[in-house]
Amino acid sequence: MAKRVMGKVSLQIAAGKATPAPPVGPALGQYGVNIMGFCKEYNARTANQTGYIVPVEITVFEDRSFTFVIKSPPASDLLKKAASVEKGSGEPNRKKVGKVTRAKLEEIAATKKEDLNANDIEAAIKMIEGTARSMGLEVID
Amino acid sequence: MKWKEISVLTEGVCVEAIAGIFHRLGSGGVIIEDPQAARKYINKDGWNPESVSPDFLDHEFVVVKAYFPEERQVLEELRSSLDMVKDNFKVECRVFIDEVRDEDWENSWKKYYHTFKIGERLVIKPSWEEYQAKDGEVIIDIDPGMAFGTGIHASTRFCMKFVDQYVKGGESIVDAGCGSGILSIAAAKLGAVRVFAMDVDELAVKIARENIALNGLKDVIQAQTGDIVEEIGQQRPDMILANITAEVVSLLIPEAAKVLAPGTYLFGSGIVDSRWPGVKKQLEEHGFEIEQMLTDVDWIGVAAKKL
Repeated sequence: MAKRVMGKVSLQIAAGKATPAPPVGPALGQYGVNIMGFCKEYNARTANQTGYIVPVEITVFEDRSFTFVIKSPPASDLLKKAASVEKGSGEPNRKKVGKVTRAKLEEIAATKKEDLNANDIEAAIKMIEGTARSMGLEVID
Repeated sequence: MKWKEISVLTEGVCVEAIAGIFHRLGSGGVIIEDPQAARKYINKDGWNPESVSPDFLDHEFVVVKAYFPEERQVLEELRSSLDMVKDNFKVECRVFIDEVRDEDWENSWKKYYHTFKIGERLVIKPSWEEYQAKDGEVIIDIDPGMAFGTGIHASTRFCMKFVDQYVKGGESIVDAGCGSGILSIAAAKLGAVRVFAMDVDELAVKIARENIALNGLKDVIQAQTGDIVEEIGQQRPDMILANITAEVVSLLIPEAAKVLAPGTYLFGSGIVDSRWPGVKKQLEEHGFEIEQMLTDVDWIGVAAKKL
């Protein structure tokens, strides 16, 4: 029989560098999960992606065991790469830091559609576009 | 340590944008609590309705959370970035601030950690529980705190089994990446006469020392902070325990090969199966014979004998 699910937590954290500090500690602590066990497992599986943020969706079972799946990179990371910028803008409405094409937005939306909880590709594109603008990226055709 | 917990209540469409803002502010990660994602499981695997507040599942909004050290000032920049989110998505986000402390989550898992047996002889006993040893059992008292090494994880279990099987008494052992000290203590309790335990994490070494004292093994086990790959050259062990990751085990193999005499052992663990071919190749190239392998789902532990 399948084990009963207790809860689900999504985290976006740096590959290979999970520690019991926030956000991992409080996210898993609330479910009684062995935090270091998760860190060890996450770091071992993401060691080859160091330097990137690698999101995970963790399922916690009633006996406090857990499994997780690795998700696609955060939209902000994919957008930074697409626009060749190091960092988003601290004042996105006044200071633009780069440009990204609509075609690129659609490509990112397609990559991330499964992980976005978007109902259709249009909704996914809208999410990615809004994310781009909120980072100070100009969307061009 | 105190942390500021900043929760942004929003709608699903804004999640990636808000996560991006927190990453830019240097939060070191975010938590996303999405009732829609949770709801998918309700009918699937048998949801435990008591585990999550019904309020959480009843609503549509999502919470994106991040943590900052108490003294970090981020609110002004966060608010100005959220204005932009509002312009772009036409969604008003609400910000809640709370204060949390390390203690709030550090001990929560202890409720679920109980005495258990590994291999033929070893019994792992949380320091806050009582247990009467039966014939032939060796008890390891442990409070792992925030260090790795409760004995539950497959990688630690593999090494415990190797210790149980191979330590006969009188050995000199190196514990590379000692975490809570659980493997060193197991080895010493089974008769190793000298254990050198090392971890890069200072907190782990502090916890290991406490556990060593708890088991009355201060004269046998020496725990130190440092990089074992650099330090191993100073040691002449009969056995090396390396419950780390495939990457570190691979780095350690050439150095271990220099200090281990023929017929002695390297026990490697923490190896995910996708990295196993690289570790195996390293072992073979440096004169090790793979004597035993333990597997659990996609974790691998190896007992390698120096030829």
